[in-house]
Amino acid sequence: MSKVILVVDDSATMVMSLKASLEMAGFKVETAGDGVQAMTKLKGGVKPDLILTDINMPNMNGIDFIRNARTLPGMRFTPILALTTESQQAKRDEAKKLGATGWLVKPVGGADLIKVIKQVLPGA
Amino acid sequence: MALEFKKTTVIASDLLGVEDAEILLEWLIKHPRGRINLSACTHLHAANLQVLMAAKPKVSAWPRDGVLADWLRAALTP
Amino acid sequence: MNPLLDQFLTEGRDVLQSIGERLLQLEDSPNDAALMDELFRLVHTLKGNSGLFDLPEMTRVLHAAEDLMDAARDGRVPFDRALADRLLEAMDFVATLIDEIAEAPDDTPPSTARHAGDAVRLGEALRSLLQDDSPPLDADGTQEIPQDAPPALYRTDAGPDLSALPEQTRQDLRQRLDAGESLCWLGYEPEEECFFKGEDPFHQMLQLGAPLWHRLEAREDWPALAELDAYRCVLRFEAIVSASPERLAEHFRYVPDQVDILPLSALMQTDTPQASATAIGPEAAWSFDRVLAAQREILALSDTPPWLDGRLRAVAASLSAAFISVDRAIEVETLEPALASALAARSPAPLLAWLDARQPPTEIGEAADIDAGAPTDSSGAKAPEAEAVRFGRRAEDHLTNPRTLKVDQAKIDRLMNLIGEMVVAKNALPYLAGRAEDVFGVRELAREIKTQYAVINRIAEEMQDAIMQVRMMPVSFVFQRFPRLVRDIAHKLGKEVRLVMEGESTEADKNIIEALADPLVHIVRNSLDHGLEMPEERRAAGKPSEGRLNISARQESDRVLIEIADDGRGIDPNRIRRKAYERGLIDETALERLSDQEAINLVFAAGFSTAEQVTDLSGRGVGMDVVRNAIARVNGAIDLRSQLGQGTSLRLSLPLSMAVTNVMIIESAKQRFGVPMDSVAETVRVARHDIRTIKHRRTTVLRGRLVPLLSLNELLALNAEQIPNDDDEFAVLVVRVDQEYLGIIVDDCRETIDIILKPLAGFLGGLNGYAGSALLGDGSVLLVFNPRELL
Repeated sequence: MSKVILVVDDSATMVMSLKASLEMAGFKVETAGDGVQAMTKLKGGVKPDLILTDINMPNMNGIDFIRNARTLPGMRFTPILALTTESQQAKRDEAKKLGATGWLVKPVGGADLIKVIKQVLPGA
Repeated sequence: MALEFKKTTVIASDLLGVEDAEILLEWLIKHPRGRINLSACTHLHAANLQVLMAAKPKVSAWPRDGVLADWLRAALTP
Repeated sequence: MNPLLDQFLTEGRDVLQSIGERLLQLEDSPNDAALMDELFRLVHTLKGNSGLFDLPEMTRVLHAAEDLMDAARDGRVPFDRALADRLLEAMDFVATLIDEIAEAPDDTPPSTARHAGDAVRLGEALRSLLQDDSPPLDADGTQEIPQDAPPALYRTDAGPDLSALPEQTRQDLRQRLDAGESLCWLGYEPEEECFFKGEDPFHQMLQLGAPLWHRLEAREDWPALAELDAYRCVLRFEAIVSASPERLAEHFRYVPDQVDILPLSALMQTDTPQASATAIGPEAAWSFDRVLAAQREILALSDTPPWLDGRLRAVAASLSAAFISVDRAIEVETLEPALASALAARSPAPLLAWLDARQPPTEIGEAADIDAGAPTDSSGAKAPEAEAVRFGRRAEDHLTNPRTLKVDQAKIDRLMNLIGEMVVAKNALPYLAGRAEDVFGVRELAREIKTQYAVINRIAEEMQDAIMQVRMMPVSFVFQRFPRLVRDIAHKLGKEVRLVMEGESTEADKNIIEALADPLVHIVRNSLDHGLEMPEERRAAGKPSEGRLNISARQESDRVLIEIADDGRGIDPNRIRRKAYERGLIDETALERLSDQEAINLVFAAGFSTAEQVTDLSGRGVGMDVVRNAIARVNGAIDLRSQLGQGTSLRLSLPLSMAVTNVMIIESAKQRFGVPMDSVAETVRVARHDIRTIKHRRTTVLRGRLVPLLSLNELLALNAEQIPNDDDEFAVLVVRVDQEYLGIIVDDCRETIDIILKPLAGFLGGLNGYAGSALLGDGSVLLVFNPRELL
C-alpha cells in the first residue's frame, strides 16, 4: 500500500512540483494551501504517513501548523519535514523544537527529496 | 496486520509502526511467557524495540534481514 | 509548454503583482508588520519557485531581495523609498525574465544568461542596503551553503569505551584503517521525546548499513512492564561504521546534539604514517573544498567588469593559500602561469582549467552528498516525456484553491466559437419546421420542431450568457498598474500626485479590458505630464500642492464608464485653436466659429500634440487620436471635458461585451454585408433626384441637414454601380462618425441579426475597414464592415 504524504505550501507551483516528484516515486499525495487547510484535512480524516510543510504561509504558518498538528491524536508520531530556505536556520530550530522531524532546503525535488523522505519514513 | 496474536506467540510481520508498541506492550503484560516470531518482520520502530528490550520475550524466530537481526540479537539475548 | 513551468509563470506574475501592491502600500504605512510579513513571504515564495528551474539570474536577484526583506522585516534596515525603489527595480527585472521565458517556444526555460550582468548589479544594489548587516557576500548570491554541515556541529566530548571490543574486531578495524578506510565510532542517545517528533532512531541506525561493531542498551534500568512508558526513548546506540565523519554528521543533521562522532584513527593510535593527501583532517578538507568551490563560482561568472584583473588575482591568491594550507604547495607553481594567461586573455578560462585539473567540478558535489553509496533512485532517471505526461494528467489536482479555476484563454475562445456556431445552427430549425409544414404537409411535426426549437433556443441563449460571464474580468486588471505608474512618473517629474481609484471591481469583457490598457496608460501619462502642475505652480494658483488624479469605473446599463479626472491646469481652448490653425488642421473661419468644447475636441485630431516639448513620457508623436481610435475599435466612445485652471476629465464609454453584435444585413454588388447597428443612425430611401453634387461630392438633405453620400461599392472597391429600387430610390445607411452624419449608399437594407463576430484571420486580417466575419444560418459567411474605419 502506498504511503500518503500531505504537502502543505501556499505556492501552487511548489505544490505541483513536489506532488509530481512524490507521485513519480509512488507516494499518494494530499495537498493543502496553508496551515488552516491542512488542519481541516487532518481533522477530516486524512491520515498521512508523512507531512511536508512550508514555513511561510498565510492564515496559519508552518510553525503554528506543526504545533497544532502534533496535538491531534493521530499525528503524535507522524514524521513532519519543514520546507525551508538555507537562510532560515532559526525557523528550522524552532520547527524542530515544536515537533518537526527535520527539514528540507528549497528548492527540493527529485532524488534528493525522496532520499530524505526514505531517511525519515521507514518502509518508504 | 503487523501484529498477529496467537495463543502464546505474537507474529510480527512487515513493519511494526510506532503505534504498534502500545499493543505489543499490552499483550506482553498479559502474556508474561509470550513468544515473538520476527521472521517476517522487516523493521520495527524504536518504541517496539524498547518494549522488547524491557519485556525480553523469547524470540522464536529472528528477522531474515541480517542487519536488523544482528542489532536485535545483541539487544535481546542476555 | 511544460505545465510546471506554465504554473510557475502564472503564479510568478500574480506574485509580482502582489509584491508591487504591497510595496506601495508599505510606503504609506511602513510600520505595518503584517504587510511586511506578507511582502517577505511573497518574495520568499517567488525565490523558492525560481529555484525549481535553472534560472540562476532570477534566483540571484530574488535571493538578495529576500535577504533584504528579511532584514527590513526584523527592523535591521529601515523600510524607505530607496529600498522600495530597488525592490521594484528588481521585480521589474524578474518580470522581464518571466516574459522572456513565457515567449520561449521550448518546454524548458531558455537561458537567461545574457542578463547575468544585470542580475549581479541588481543583487549588489539590494545587498548594499544591508550594509554591515549583510551576511558575508558569497561570490554568487544563489549558492546554498550547507551552513549546518561543518564538522564542529557534532559532539566530540564523550569518549567511547572500546575496551569491550573483541580482539578479532580490533584487528579487523586496524587493518581497515591501514588500508585507508575511514572508520568512525558513533554514539547516539536520542532525546526522550524524540518519538513525538516523528523520529525513529532505530531506523536511523539501520540505514547506516551493517556496522563493524554495535551495542544497544537502555540508559536506565527497565521498570516493571506495567510501568513502562514505551514512548519515552531511553535507548543508547553505539556503533563503529565505515563512513566519514562528514557523512555521519550529514546523516544525523537533524539531531546533531544527540550524537557523538569520532574518527577511529585517533582512538586506535595507529602507528602507520599516512599519505600527505589524506593527512588533513575532515574539517580542513571541508574548508578546502568550500574555498575551491567558491573560487570556481567566481570564475564561472560570465561578466567582464572593469575590475576583472583584480578579481582574477584575488582568485589566484585564494587558490594558492588553499593549496598551501593542505600541504599541496608544490602544485601552486603552475598557478602563476595560469594567472598570467588569464590576465592576458581577460578571461577566467585558464584559471578554471588549472582548477579543474586539480579538482574536477563533480567531486565537490559528491563530497556534500548525503549518501553517495545508496542505490540510485529510479525516480530521478525517468524519461522527461513520461514526466510531462504525468504533469499534464494531474494538472487539475494541483490547484490549491478549488473555487477558482485558471483556464487557458484559448479554451474560452473555443467555447465562444462553439456557442457562436450553435446560435447559428439552431436558426436552421424554424426553416426545417417551415419545410415540414409546407413541403411535406406534416403540421404536427412542424409544431413539435418549433417547440423543440424554443427549448434549444433558450438553452443556447443561457449558454451564451454564461460563457460571456466567464469572459468578464474586472477593470482592476488594468487599474492595478496605475499606483506604480503614477508613483514612478510623479517622482520623475517632481510632482506630487494623489491617486484615487474607484470601482476597480467593475467588470467587462476580456477583449474590452485588454483594449483599454494602452489608451488608459496614455491618458494617465498625459494627465501627469500636461495636466497636473508642478507643486509651486499649484500653490501659486491657490491649489494644494498635491495634485489629484481620480480614476473610476462603473457600469451603466450595458456600458462601462471609465473616468479619468485631474484637478490640473485644464486645457486652454484658445491655445488649441491657435495650434490647430498653425498645424493646418482648421482654417481661419473655423478658428472663429469653433466653440470652446469643439476646440478642446481638436486634441483628438490626427497629428495634434500640444506639448511644448516632447518628453519621454507622453511625447513621441503619439497623440490623443491614437487613444480615440483604440477606443473606437472596441465600439467605445470618448468624451473630453476641461475647465481651464480647474482640471480635465476624460470619460470613456465602452460596451460591456463585444461578444454578440447586433448587425444589419445590407446588400451591395449582389453580396451581403453586415454593419454593426450601434454605428447605424438610420436607414432611409433617397430618390436619385434628391442627390446633389457639391464640390464633386454627392450630398443630400435629410431633415434639414446636409449629409454627404458615399457609395459602398466605391468604398469597398467593388466594380459595380449601386442599384436603386423600382422607384429609383437608393437605400442609404446613415452612420454617425464623430458627431458627423454620413450616408452610405447600398443596394438594399435587410433585417438585423445577432451574430458572434470573429476577427478576420489570415491575409484578410490585414484588410482595413472590416470588423470581422460571422457565420450565418445557411452556412454562408458574412463580412461585417466598420464604417468608421472605412471612411
